[in-house]
This record gives sequence, C-alpha cells and structure tokens, in this order.
Amino acid sequence: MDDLLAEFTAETREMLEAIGGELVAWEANPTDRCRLDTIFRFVHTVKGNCGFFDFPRLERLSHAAESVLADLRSDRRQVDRALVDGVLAIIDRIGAIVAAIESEAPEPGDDDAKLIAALAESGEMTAQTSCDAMLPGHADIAPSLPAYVAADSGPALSTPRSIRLPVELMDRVMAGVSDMVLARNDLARRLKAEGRGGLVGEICGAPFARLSSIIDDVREATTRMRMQRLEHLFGSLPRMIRDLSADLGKQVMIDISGADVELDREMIEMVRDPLTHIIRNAIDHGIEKPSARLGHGKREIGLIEVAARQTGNRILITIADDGLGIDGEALTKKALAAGVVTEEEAASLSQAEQLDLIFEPGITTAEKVSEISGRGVGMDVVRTNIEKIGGTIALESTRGEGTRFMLELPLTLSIIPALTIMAGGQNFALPRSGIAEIVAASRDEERFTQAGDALLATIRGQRVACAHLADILGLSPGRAVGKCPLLIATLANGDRFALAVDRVLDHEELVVKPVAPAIMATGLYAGTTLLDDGSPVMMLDLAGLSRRAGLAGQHTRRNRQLASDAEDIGQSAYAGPARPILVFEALDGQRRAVRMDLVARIERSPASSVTRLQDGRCQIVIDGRVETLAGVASADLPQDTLVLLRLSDGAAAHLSYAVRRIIDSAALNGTLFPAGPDDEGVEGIALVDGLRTEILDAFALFAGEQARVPDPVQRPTCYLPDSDPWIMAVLMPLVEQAGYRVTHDPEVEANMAFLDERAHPPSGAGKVIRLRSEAALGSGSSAENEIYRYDRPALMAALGAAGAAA
Amino acid sequence: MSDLVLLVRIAGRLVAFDADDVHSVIDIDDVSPVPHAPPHVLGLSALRSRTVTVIDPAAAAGIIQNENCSPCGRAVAVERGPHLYALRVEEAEDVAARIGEPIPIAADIGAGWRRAARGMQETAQGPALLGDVQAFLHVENTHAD
Repeated sequence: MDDLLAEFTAETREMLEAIGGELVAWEANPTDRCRLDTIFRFVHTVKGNCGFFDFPRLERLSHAAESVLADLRSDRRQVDRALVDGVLAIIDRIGAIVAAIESEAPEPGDDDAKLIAALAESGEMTAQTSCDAMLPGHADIAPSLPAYVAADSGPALSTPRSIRLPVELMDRVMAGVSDMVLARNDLARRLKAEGRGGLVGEICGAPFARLSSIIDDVREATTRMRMQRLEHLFGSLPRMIRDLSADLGKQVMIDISGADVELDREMIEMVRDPLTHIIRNAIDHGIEKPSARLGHGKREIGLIEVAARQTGNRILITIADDGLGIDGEALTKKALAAGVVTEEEAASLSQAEQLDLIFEPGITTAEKVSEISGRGVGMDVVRTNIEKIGGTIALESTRGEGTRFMLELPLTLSIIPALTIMAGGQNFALPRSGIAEIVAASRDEERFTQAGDALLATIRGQRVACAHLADILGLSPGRAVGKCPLLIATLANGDRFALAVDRVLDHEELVVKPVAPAIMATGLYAGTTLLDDGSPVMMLDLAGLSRRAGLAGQHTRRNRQLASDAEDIGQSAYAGPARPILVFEALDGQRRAVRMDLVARIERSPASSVTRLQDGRCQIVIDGRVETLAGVASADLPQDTLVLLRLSDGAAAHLSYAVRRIIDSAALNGTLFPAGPDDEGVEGIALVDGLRTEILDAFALFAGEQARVPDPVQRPTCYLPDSDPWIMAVLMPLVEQAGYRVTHDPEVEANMAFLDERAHPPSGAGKVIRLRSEAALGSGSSAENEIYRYDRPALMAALGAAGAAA
Repeated sequence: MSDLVLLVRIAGRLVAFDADDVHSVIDIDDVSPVPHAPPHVLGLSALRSRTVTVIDPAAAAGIIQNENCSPCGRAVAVERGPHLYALRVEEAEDVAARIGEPIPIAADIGAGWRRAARGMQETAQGPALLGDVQAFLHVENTHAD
C-alpha cells in the first residue's frame, strides 16, 4: 500500500508540475478549450485516484472542480474570473494536501467548504457580472495560499523513499551494461585463447572471474529495473473492486490470471489508468445490482475477469464482465445528440461500429453522473493513452451477457523467451510460445509424405505440412529435411506446421527490439536481438513464415481432420483420445513414461546440485529453489550431469524427476495393465512400441506418498470435468486406481463428482466433492464437502464412502 | 544545417553529407544477411549494443545495382527515428567546410542522382554533390520519425 501511495503522490506532484504552465495559460485565456480539457483531465484523474485511497477531502475538492469544469466544457456555464480563481485555488489546495500526505505532515487548512462554496457562488452570479466585480471573491480565497507555501517549503527536506528516473537515462545505463557484457565476453575469449597455463591467465584469472560475476549481477539488476511483472498492476485491483462494489451496493468477484507476464515498467505505468478506468466502468455500469442479477437468471455475484497473456510479440490484456452489456442503439442516439455522427452515418452503423462510439469524446452510457464514473471522459482518454504506446483497444459486448475489452500492447523492450536455431548457415530466433514441441531427427523413413508440391510430416499420427526453414528463407539447407530436428509450431488460429532446422542451439531470454521498416515489410520478422557474443539475430514471425511458405490454411486443417479420423477408426476399441506420453530410461535402467501434460521442460543440471537427505529422499537446487528430486530412490546418482524432467501439476507444485536418457515421445492408446504390488509409484504398465513401459503415477509423485493399489471390487462412476488440467493429469489416475469408471459427461449418472471450487455441479452426480487449492479451510465453507486437493486420506475416504454406498 | 560536410565516395562519385545528419563513421566487419530483405539492405551488424541495418546507398537511391557490393568496410552511420543505419561507402574522405550555399547543377546527372542529390556544394576540398540521406536510405519522408 505504501508503494501505491508513494506512486500516487509522486504522480500527482508530477502532474501538478506539468500542469503549472497550462493553468497560467488558461488564466490568461479562459476560453481556450484545449487547456480546459487538460485541466479537466487532471482533476478527473485526481478524483479517480483518491477515491481509491480514501482521501475524502481530495475527493470532494476534485469533484467540485470537475463538476464546474464539466459545466464549462458543455457550455452550461460561462467562464469568469472568479471561477478561474476558484479552480486555481482548489488545485493549489490539492497540491498542498498531496505534499502533506507525502511528508506525513498534518494536512493544511480545513476551509475546503469555503473553496467549494466559492465555485458555487460564482456560478449563481451569471455571466453579466463583470470580472472586476468578482474581485472580492478572489480575496476570500487568497488566504489559503500561504498554507500551501508553508506546507511546500517545510517537508521538502525529507528524503524520498524512491526516485523517478527519465527512461532515457535508464536506456543509457542498459546500453552501457550490454556493452560491458560484450567486452567481457570478448576478453573471456582472448583469455581462453591464451591458455590456462599462460602468464596472463594466471595473473588475471581470479580478478577476471570476479569482474565477470559482478557484471552478471549488474546486468540482471538493470534488466529488472525496466521489467515488472503485471502483478504490480493487478495487485491493487481486488481492493479497488471491493471498495467500489461496496460503495455501489453490488457484489463483484474478480478473477485474475497472467499476473506473471512481464512488461516494460513504463508500459505498465501507461496501462494502469486505462485499466482502472475500464474496471470502474464495468462495476458502475456493467454489473447489475444483486436483485437485478437474480432477476436476469444470473448469479448474485458479478464476475470481472482480468487476464494477460503474451502472444508472439504482443501482450493481450482482456477485461471481461458478466453484466448488462452495452446498448449500441442508445450509444448511437447519444452520439447523434452530441453531433459525433450524422443521421445518415448513424443509420448505417454496424453493431461493432455502434459499440466503437464509446471511444468518441464526450459520450457516455451512464444515465446519471456519479462519483465513480459517467462523465463521458473516460473511454476517449483510455483510447488515447493506449494508442500513445502503440497499442490497440477493442471491445465486444452482448446485451444482457456482458462486455469484454481487449487491450493489445506491443512487447517492444519486453523480454521474450526464445529458441535459437541454425538454418542455412545462419542463426535465427523463434518465440518459444509458438513452438509446441521439438521432435528429434529420426531414422523413420515413413515420417514424410510428398503430396504434390507439399511435404507432409506425420507426428504421432497427425499429418502436418512441413518445410525446411532454409528453403523458406531462400538459403541452402545444411541437411535434408529427414535428418533435421523438427519444430512443431502452433499459430494463434490453431494451425500447426512443422519447421525443419539444421540445429537447435539454445533456449534464451532475449530482449527484442524493432527492426528497420524495410525489413519489417518482408513480414517474416518480428524484431531483432543481440546474442551474448554481440552478433545480431533476427527474430522470426511464425505466422509470416507459414504465409510465405503456404504452410497453413485450409489444407492443413483438412489434413489434420483426416488424420484424426484415421486415428479414430484405428482405435475404435479405445474410448478416449490418445494421450501423449514421454518415454525415458530411468536411473535404475527401467523403461518408464510420464504423461506429457505434466512435463514443463527437460533440463540438464550438474550432479553437485543434488543433496541426499537422511531419509533417503533427494532434493535439488534449481532456478534458485529447492525442489524434490524423484526417480533416484534405489539408484546411484550419476557423477557429472543429470537429465531432469521438470514436472508441474499445472498449479503450484513442481518437482524434478531424474532420468538416464530420454527415449521418445509416444501416444498412450489402449488399456493400461495393472502394475504389480511391488511397483511403487507406477500407475500401470503400457506397451509402447511393443516394449513394457511403466507409466508414472502422477498423483503419488505430487502427493509425496507411495501409491497403494486397492482391489477393484465394483466399478462405481465418478464425474470429473475435462477442462481442468490438474484433475485430468493428477487426480484422474488416482480415481481410476480407486476402482472408479471416469466420465466427463455431466449428464451421465455418477456416484460422485470432483469439482474445483467454483464450477457448477453436474446434474447426474450423487455426492459432490469440491477441491481446494489451499490446505487451510476458507471462511464460510464447510469441511464436509470440501477437500484439500493433496489430502490423500480424505480423498481416499471420500472415494471409499461413495463407492460403498453405490 | 551545419557548416561542415562529410565527404564520401558513393558509386565512384564524391558526395557531401551535412555533418548534422551523420551519427559517426564506422568500419563494418561482420554482417548477418537478412533473407528476403529488399536488395539495398545488405544485412544487420552491431554497433556497440545497438543493431545497425547496413544499406547499399547506390542501390537504395536507384543509381546502380551492384550485385557485388561487399557489406563489410567503411560506412556512415545515420540515425532515423529509433533505427540506426549504416551507409556502405567506398571511401569516407574527410570533413570539409562548406563554401557558400549549394547551387543547382547545370547538367543532367541521371535519374538516380537527381533523387539523391540536393545540388552541388562547393567545399574546401572541391565541389561535391550534396547528398540527401533520406534518398540513400530509401525511406519515405513521412516515415522519418
């Protein structure tokens, strides 16, 4: 909260400084519309911000000034000297109060009412009153000024807790640090060439290592200086929504996702106000009162969903509410009244165009002006601010169902996780988010089919279009497609294609910068970046590549359909879809597999990072965290390097599983044979390529316990929603082991159902158990039908009870 | 407009650039080609920690299309908006003082040079065509910033 407050005061102070000149210019020429708008936005912003912090004095002052200025803007009132003085006095007072808040000094003077009254008085006297006659009013206000001066000079000595820096300076520091890293790398290469036994190496080795690690620290710090996770922005939303909804007598719940997406700090600052504004509007105009919601057949509690994700080189933030929706017709009428559109234009507007009118200046959907919003200044300011940073804003709305705003922001200067590869003798980078999987070169000749001019690759039963990256780029491929690793790319529209490359080099976090327009025009590139050795590398745009090579589109989609049809026929005996698994050789030499859904990534780690505890379990230090290391129970650890499967349950739990080597990925289709009583931690045995393969028991792994195989006496049914990855990957095997038949169809009659905390119960279920992600029981929920998702005894007891009842 | 001009040689001719337009004179020694880029884009290089787009100015202005223009060698770095470009020149001779205003050229210098030259500039080193950086970059004026 302190941080937010400091930001608020700093921002207000900055705005006051910036607005100083505007105020003087406005005083000189009160009819200047442009200046009036600027000042209006200032008080509007202050009002919005202080409402959130609960500063009633600031709110009253800014509301009064805003009302008067709004009247001026809509020509409901004439400007006069006293009014100008009154507004200036209020802005001075706002400055004094903010300065007092900043220095934690007592707030100055408490004659706010007088200031506000001065505005109203001047309004009662009409425009005929001459400016001179208003001078007494001026004198009334004047005494407030010394208070401001005093407050300003006193606390100026206190030290600020944070400082604001111009972005140019930070850019310079960052460029300097990057140069330092390049020079360091160059030096490192030279020292290496000199040889370890050389004199220079002996003298400089240790200091160089020290310098090197210092540079790494500084570099990391400077990178962090600019980047911020969106949670800094999202963190303040729940409180804001709580306060606003309480004020308005509504019940609103917020659902935030993607808070870990990183964005340029400056960008976050620019998004803060628009986001706040949209959410205010959603609560004020979108979400209905609880009684009205019940009347519409909705849940009493409104839901606002804020989600962020990275797609290619853009960040997408969506803000959705399940409220009233926006009335396009009403909006058009208002726009017509305000003169934004003509009669003919209004008649020809499509529904989307009607909704877009909300971004025109001076238009509001609110019937009444409230403290919260509804002066019709919001959305045009929002759009201006978003476009200023090169972003776009769009909305969708369905009457009665809700509204969804989509902000798309450029990722310039954001750090993109990338894959560096080599093709045709050149290095390139690809955004990792677009690569679903990397398939190693295989000797399998049947993987490729030539269909006309197109090459198709068969990846686990699916046929996808395939091309060598070097061919697309007009370079000569280093190797034939059949001998290359394949990258399976997934586009935003769901199209998939395979890209053959000569070599996959590395995973890197790259700072991608825009590239010259002449190169951008090729449509193949998303930007450029410098690798650690200082060489420039182009970041490829996957959608552009697929367009250039004709890899995606109708034909791929049709092929995919054909392939999956063929698969369905081939596997008609098997009810469910094929599930991908990763086959590997465990440290004890066993051939095992794990469900692909659980594998976050595959990594190598030095054996020295592993510690064996007294009870025989192992832990590993990885990514600055201590994680459980599984797969080492009865085996000796390798001496040098470990191959690790980083497993994640899709929620909070992570662990590493040590393996000897990765064999391949495969599809698990067909029934599992039950594991033997001694096969602890094994869900079942599958035949993969005709070989016995043990499938790891995900539940046992994550619960940190040993699995027990119960005797399946009967086959009761359990409903599990197939939308939740945790339930599908972790819980389902356990339920099946407990002897249940699993259904994903809510209509089917089931003995019991497992759901997450919020989902609607299926119609056919007997006993419904909700799964908490927190171990502690939340307030207001009963222990009876809620179980912590890793509370194995409770889960087993529930399964046992429902099974016995059946 | 600066009193000084940088004299360079492009396609065998002496060209003067306003010193204010020039970021620096650099030597390019390592260029990564950019597949499918327009022919006047020779590739990307790095200047300190910035990416530089290396341009063949003669091709960009449509003077001659030299297939064998080597991307490596002497270049004039210029900044346009957020982007840094390097114009590959045959020589960067010297910085010279302007003598008088640029004057119209009293002869037909060819279509390419008409686009790229803003007149004849008399300098302490003799006369040179006053080069238009925009034309040599092959960027539209509207895009400049």
